[in-house]
Amino acid sequence: MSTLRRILVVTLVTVAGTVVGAAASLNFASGSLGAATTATPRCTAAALTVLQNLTAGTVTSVTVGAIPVACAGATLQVTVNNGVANSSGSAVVPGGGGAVTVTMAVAPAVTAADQIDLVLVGP
Amino acid sequence: MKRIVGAVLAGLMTVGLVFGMAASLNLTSDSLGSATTVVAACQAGAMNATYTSAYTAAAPGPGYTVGTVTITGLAATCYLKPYRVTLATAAGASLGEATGTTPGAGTTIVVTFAPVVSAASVTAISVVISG
Repeated sequence: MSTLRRILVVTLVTVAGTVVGAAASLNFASGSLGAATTATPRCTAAALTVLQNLTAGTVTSVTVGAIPVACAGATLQVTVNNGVANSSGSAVVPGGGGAVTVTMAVAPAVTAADQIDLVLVGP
Repeated sequence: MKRIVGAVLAGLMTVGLVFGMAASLNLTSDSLGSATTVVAACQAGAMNATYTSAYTAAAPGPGYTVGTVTITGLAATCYLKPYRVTLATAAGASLGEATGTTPGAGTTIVVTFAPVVSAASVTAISVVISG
């Protein structure tokens, strides 16, 4: 056997061995997967004061007080529901917090059991 | 003479081969292939969720509810991928889930919840983007 033939034989055997070795692995790829959970914080857990401002038997506005400075910049939304109708309004809490008066879009009639809901959104 | 020697050698090699094979086991194998790859998020940049609240007289009201969550900070590497957003209570109970596909442009995902979720109950939000 000539030197060239020997080299060819060794090369073929090496290549064959490589192919057999590669067959033991899988061609495997993965798509991306990202997940996260975060808390939705409250700007305050303290009690707020709520005062209805009346005009001729209707609730024209609501004043929410004792808003802490941590709520500065938040949007305060207030809704008055008198059991028959409801009306809403919103205002931005000023930089120092404190009291915010929210004017109702339509002044609902005052009743003995008005329900007032409010939410602070942001900042 | 050479032919005789050759024949003897061939015979010995055959016998050796047979004896050699007799010492082996009959063994087969199921296939086994393995690989490891990294499962990465489509972006590392921070995202932020903001809430749009509205008054709802009907259930889950009367009260303020969340019907839309806007997520900002989306990177281009997360475009056109399936997402799931969950609003949950402090105890981890799901209040509502919304699914969809991230947009193919911009940095904002607008997620709509139907039915709406009580705003007072929302204390956590989870987001997963895959694909």
